[in-house]
Amino acid sequence: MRADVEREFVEYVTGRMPRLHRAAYLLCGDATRADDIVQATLVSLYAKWGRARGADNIEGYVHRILVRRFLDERRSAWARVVLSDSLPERPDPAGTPVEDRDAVVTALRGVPRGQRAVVVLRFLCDLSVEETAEALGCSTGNVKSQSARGLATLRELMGGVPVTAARVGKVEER
Amino acid sequence: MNEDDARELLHATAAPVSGVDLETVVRAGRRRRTRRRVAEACGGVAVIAAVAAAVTVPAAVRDHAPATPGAADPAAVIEQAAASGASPSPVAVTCQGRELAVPSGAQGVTVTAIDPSGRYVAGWSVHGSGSLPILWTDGVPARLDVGAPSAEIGAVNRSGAAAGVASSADFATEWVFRYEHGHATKLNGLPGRWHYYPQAYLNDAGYVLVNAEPQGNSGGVGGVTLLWRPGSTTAEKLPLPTGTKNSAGIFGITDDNTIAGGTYADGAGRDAYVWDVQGHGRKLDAPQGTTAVAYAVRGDWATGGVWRAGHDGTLAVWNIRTGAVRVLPQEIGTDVNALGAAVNRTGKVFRPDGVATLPPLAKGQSVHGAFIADTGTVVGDVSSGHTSIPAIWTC
Repeated sequence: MRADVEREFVEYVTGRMPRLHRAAYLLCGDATRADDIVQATLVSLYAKWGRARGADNIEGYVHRILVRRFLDERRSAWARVVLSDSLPERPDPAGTPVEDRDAVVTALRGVPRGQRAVVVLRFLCDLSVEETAEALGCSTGNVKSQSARGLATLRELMGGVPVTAARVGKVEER
Repeated sequence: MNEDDARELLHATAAPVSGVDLETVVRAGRRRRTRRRVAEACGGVAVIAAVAAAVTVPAAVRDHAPATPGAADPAAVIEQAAASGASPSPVAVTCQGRELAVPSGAQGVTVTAIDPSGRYVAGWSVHGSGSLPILWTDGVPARLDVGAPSAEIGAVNRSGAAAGVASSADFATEWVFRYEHGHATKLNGLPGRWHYYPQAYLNDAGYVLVNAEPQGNSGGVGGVTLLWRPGSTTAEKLPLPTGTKNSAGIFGITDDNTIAGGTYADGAGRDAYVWDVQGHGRKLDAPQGTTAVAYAVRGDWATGGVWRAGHDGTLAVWNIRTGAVRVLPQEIGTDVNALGAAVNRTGKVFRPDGVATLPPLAKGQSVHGAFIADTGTVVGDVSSGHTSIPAIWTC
């Protein structure tokens, strides 16, 4: 890759890594795996940068790779061993207080992967229904239904407790 | 919880500090690039991603000596279909395609080479940030253990011997390997840390070549092209084509040790060349006012692209024995066989007598042929939406 094009890649990625890492973390609920997902995403992006840099919707393109990496984990041997032997713990639906990010992450881990991907893309990455559908390779109707189900599941897992930013603490984007 | 609650919740939820190292990403990304992607990256000008290997030699008198004995007058015939607006005629050839089986659990499989007999196919699958090599024999895939956390095969010959580039887990260290008789041999490089790109090349005789640049550089700055003779693990620097002053990148070697590639200036391709391991060679002709690079060579034929300033590259097929070149208004060529049939990423086979089309395996798929054997067998992939799978066609 030409030096100036590589610099462009590095600049683009540098500004977006924290957010991509947060999305990956909320998707998989594990910091190490989130690093693996982000790294794999960025390596893939690097390899396709010549084409990606000219894409109309590069954000959607990057998120698509990220989500595919997350969803593909289910087929990896590592995922079979780690995930199937260690089912996510579900919080007490009777109303566990939301005190820190662990509660949110634990709740998200109880949301089926497809619904979780929709919820994270829609409400963390701020993709539109159409962009989310494109990223996941499904219909907009599917996104809407998965979104509604995902929110319902999340609501149930968090015990119906209304959640505010104040309760989970203010976040500074790194 | 409504949508606004969810948005507020997720935006307010921190993640632990990321351990992703951007340098590692770039190193791994450089490794991921394959010849196919190198070709795809060529938009507008002959500037190649991770291509320009700077092979420094003393300036010498320009020498256009033929690369092969009996080569014709370099005053070549240039057939410019592009200039006349002509497109190649279809030929009555039927190609049958099928999915190429992949190892259980393999993801993101990419094919990178086919041997001249069509019996062996090389490729790799995505494994985290790295790659796992795959070798198909008669259509049956097998993972190769080359003793590395990440590796990619770049070439395979008629004997099923392969050559590739391996990496340490953090991609900070790379090495070239030769794989034969079920065993991988590490080939010693030059002192220091080098990045090898875009892949290793190998011929039937067992010569292995690769472009290399010091780790941390890009665009081929400070680079060389390395050569390992059959059975040897000691690298030699490949001389530039005699008389050239610029750097060079290599992209293939024939069974009689003719090397194809191009010269580069400031990271941009200038002239397509063929030369031998002593540096004897010649520039391949291209239409006036264009730059050119050869991306593949086999037998008497080479293919690649020619560029006019500000325009996308177009397909070029050279007969390196006669010096004749055909320039067609098509995407640049990625591979060629000993009969002069070239492929590019559009799913077509450009034969001397016309063009054949590779059919999709299912309705609505895009077809990408990438490599072609002397038998006419083509390997590549078909894609639908965001999914692509490796495929093979017999024509």
